[in-house]
Amino acid sequence: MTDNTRHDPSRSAGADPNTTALLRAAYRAPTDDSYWGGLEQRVMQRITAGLVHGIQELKPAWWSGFAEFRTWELRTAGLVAATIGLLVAGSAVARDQATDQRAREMAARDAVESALPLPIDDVMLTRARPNLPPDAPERYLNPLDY
Amino acid sequence: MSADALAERALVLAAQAGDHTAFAGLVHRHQRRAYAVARAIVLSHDDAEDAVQEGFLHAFRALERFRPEQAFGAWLHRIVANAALDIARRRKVRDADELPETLSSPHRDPAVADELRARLTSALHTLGERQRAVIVLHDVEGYKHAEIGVLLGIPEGTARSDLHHARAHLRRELSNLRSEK
Repeated sequence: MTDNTRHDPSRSAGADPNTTALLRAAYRAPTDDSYWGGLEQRVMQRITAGLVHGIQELKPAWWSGFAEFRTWELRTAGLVAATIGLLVAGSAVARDQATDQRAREMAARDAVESALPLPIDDVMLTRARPNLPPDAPERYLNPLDY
Repeated sequence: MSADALAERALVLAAQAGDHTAFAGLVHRHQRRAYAVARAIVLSHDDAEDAVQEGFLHAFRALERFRPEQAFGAWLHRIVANAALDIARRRKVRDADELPETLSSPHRDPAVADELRARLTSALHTLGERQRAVIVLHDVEGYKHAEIGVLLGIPEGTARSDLHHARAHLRRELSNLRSEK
């Protein structure tokens, strides 16, 4: 059995011995063994009573299973799953934004092209070029000099 | 690990497995020290016993959370100290006649001893609850400042300064009487 006190006089250096003696007497635990036997019984009776009471209080409910989420492993797994979910959602949002951007660019290009005149036929332009005089570009740029 | 520690560990493991007899063994081992801790915090024997019972009940309920590699005594005493602090907070006002009748006096003159006892009782009542617990835990029960800090949930330095103030207060209260005599 553990000792009633582990008092070591060297620990109370600086204390008034008379006061300490009075305090020890005042706070002395009961020395009668029958008292401790009785206390042990009372403690165990209280625990037994608490158990009966506790069983009534702790009927399992449908939400009891959520208590498992308090364990560390499940919390970690939940954090990992949440992180992966966030990454997937983030990449989906980024992909949607890129698609929208591309659609907007195409629409803008269509609008510009529909406003311009039809382009010159490349074949005709290529065919006409060999017949131009050598100074043709100069004349086109400065027609008054000619 | 000593044989005693091994025996205690076996009791803890059995109690955690649901063996009530094993828990009764733990109660048997620790009830006196639990009482001493509680008594340092509350002034009366009855309150100390209530705190011990409460403490063991809480410990039993929390037993599955206790890790057997820890010191069971330290864990239990912290719980009992909390129960005692709770009771002390609920019962601030106390009667002065709680000191045991069988007080053994270290003094020769019974009249002086009685007077000293009465003065001590009165001085203890004027001390703060925490200072009283600190001086009893240290000077009577032999706990170190750091251990008291853990038990009462205060910093070690606070326990040290509380002890200093409590001693000075009691010395002042009791020395007046001695000088008068």
